[in-house]
Formats: sequence, structure tokens, C-alpha cells
Amino acid sequence: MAIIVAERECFGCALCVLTCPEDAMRIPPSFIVEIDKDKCTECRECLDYCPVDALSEA
Amino acid sequence: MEKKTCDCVVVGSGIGGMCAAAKLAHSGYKTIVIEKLPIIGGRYTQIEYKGYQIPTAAWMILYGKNDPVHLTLNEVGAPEIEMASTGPIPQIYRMGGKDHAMEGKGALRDMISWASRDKDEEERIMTALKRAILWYEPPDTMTFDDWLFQFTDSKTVHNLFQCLVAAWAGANSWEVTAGQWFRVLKGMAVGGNPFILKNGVKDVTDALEKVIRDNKGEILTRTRAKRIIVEDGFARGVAAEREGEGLEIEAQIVISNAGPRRTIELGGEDSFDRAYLKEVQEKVRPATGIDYMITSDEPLLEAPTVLFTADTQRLECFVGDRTPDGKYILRSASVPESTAKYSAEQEYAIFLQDLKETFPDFDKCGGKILIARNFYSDWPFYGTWPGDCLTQKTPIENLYNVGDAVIPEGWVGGSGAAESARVVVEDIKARVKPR
Repeated sequence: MAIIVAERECFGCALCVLTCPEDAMRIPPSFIVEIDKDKCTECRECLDYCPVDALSEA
Repeated sequence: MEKKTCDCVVVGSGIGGMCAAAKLAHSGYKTIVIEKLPIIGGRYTQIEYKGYQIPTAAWMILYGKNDPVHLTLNEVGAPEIEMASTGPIPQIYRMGGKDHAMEGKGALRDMISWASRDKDEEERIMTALKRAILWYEPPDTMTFDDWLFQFTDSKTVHNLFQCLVAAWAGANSWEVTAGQWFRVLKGMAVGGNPFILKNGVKDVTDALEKVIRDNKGEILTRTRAKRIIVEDGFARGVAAEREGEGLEIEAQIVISNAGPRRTIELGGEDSFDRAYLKEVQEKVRPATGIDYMITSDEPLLEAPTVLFTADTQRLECFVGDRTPDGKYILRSASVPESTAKYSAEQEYAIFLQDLKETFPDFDKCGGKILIARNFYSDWPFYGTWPGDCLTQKTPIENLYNVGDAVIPEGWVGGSGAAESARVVVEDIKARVKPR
């Protein structure tokens, strides 16, 4: 299991970055969010925060 | 399936939805707000990040004492909110290699006088502006920039207006129509000095939340609207999902703060007449751009000061500020050449160059970009370009929209969203009694 980003949907609003309890997300210059797999605990909090449903669990 | 009954159900807890809900609850309507996100407030709150309070978008009460947000708080009896600043905020316009401060009464005239090449040009522009505001509103068939070219080709004057248009409309002067811009300009004249809140705009959202709960209202977060229930052309409630369970809320009135496009999806396209669908299709265009929160050890810009830079590759607006615990921050928004379509990656690269040009001591002052965010699509600066004035009512009876995509004439942003709530609540009070 892992959190995956729908690259066509994500545009870098950063709500997930601001609310990730593990500080596992960041906005790179592409403005498509990146997830640090080592930090991510798959708590799924970011799924609830994404305003455009660009995040999901694979 | 859990069932609830109320007078008014509000989909979305942005400032428009919260103002509507607080007014209604305060007037005796049993009100339920449902919110998809885990937090209340949408783009009108803040989140703590690395020791800083980061606004989700809005960060001040734009029109001060005349602001619909401020008036709503008073009306519903919310306690006073602590302000960091209620006075004029110094504004600097950097154009043609010079800085010009805009302040006090007649500031716009001073600016135009400064930007014009001679007295004739100044008079020509002033007369045209006055006529457009007081007598004849130019139509939406021409962009504001083209309208201005009729009276001047001065780059400085065009830049001056580009600063104002970008700051207030979240779009470029060559994108908004003359009509749209003059409708915004009229509102600017009505407003007072902006209020900057000591602890951020979350205080507003918290105060409204308390009013709603104190008046027997409910706010359900992590609750996603699935469908607006429509029967025989009337809205009857909302079907939602909460923690994987179905929730049906039956109501006399449905208010959507989810944006007109989402409202149509929720109600089902077939329930709306074609003219309305066409209007939404044409008018609902988000105002977009990239926002930067910058921290520094030494101040890059005095707090509070607004700096507009027209000489850089993009027009940027920088706001110097300090946190309540004294840390220096610099907020910035950069407006892409086309707000309809741009590469965020490219805009970011351009911003970095502009930043170094504007603040040569950036590194020496310990400047760091804390976070760069792209406001776009369903999470924009503004739900639509100001001055577009889509109606709050929908073809479905008892279904209203509120929020920054249905702002009444003359207002912008969260303040305009609050004004849309005022208009909607007035209409509800005149038509429907609490059960």
C-alpha cells in the first residue's frame, strides 16, 4: 500500500503539505506534490485534505 | 442510513457558507453545514506549519469597517476580534525604476498625475475614469487595458493599473473586461482601510462557528456531499457521506458554497435550464496564480508595507509582515501573463529571478521560501474574476449558491463571498419561515 498522486489532478495547492503530520510531503518546482516514502506512514490524512481528490491509496 | 432534518443545509464551510449559516442560525433557522475537508473555513482560515500560521488563502478583511465579513460578525453578535492593524497600509509602486508611495485621500489622482507625461494626459485619463464610474459603465466587449489605450499609451499608466487590477481582481488588465474592472473599482471606493487580524482570519471562522453552534446549528467536517436532492424543480436536501456511512439531510433550503460548477454536478445537469448552464460555463473562470510565503532573519520589507513591482518580468505584490511573536515574513503573489493557462514550473523560475532583482540582499537577510503554492482550478485565489456577478439563485427553487464565484457587483474575494451570503439570507428570510 502507498499513497499515490494523480499527476493530472494535482496542481500544488499544498494543503497536504501543510497538514501532513509526518512532514512527508513537499511541493517541488513542478508543483505536483512529492511524497517521501520513508516518512509517510500512510495515515491517509492527506486524502481527506486534498480539495481536488488527487491523492489516493494504491 | 442516518437522517437529519433542518431548515437550511449548507454545502461547504468557506466564508460564504459560514456567514450564511451564522446569519440563518442567529435568525432561528435550524442550520447544518457539511464540509468535505477536516477543517472549517475553506480558503478563509489558516494552518500552522513549521511554527508559522499559513493562511489557506485570505489573510485580511479587505474593506475594513465596511466589509461584509465585519458587518456579519457584528450582526450575529460575535465578540470583537483582535486586530493587528486597522489603519491605512503603506503602498509602494515600483515602476520605471522609481518608487512611488500611494497614500491618503486623492491617492489615485496623485498616482495618475505622477504616472502621466503631462497635465493634458492626466486630465484625459481622470475625465475618462470619472465618466466610466459616475456616468457610463464601459461594456464587457473590451478588455480594460484596451479601454485605457483610448486615452493613453503611457506604459507607466498602464503598469499602474495593472498593479491595481492584479491586486484586486487576481487577473491581468489585458484579461478583465472594462465593465468588470469598473464594477470592482466602484467597490474599492466604498471600502475602508483593510483590517489585518492579530491572530489571522481563523478568528473569523472560529467566531462564526461558535455562533452557529450556540444557535443549535451543526457543522459536520469530513462530510462529503454526494447529491443535492431535487424533486419537481425544488431542492429538498442533500445526500452525503460521512465516515463511509450515508447521511441524508432533509431541508427547506439548500445553500451551496461548493462553487456553481460543483452545484450543477451535485444537482444533476438535467435539473438546470440550459441558459443557466451556459452562463456558468462562460462566467465561472477562477482567478489563479502562485503564492509565496517567505521567511527571513532580517526584514526584507518593513511591516506592514505593500510593494508592487511593475518593472520585473511578472507583476508581483509583496507584503511585509511580522508574526505575533516577531518573526519576519514576506507574502508574495505573482500573476502569470495568462491566468487561464500557464506553466507553474516556468512561473516559479521567473519568480526566483524577480525575487533576487527586487531584494538583492535576499540571501544576506536569510530569506527562504517557506512554501510556494499554486492557487488554481478548484482551489483558486478567487472562484471567478470579480465583476462577473453570476446570480446567487439557481433555476432549482430553494437552491442558492454563495461564495466567491457568485459575488454581487462591486466586491471581491472573501468579502464578496460574505456579501453573497447577505443577499441570499435576505432572500430566504423574506420567503421562508423557520419550521
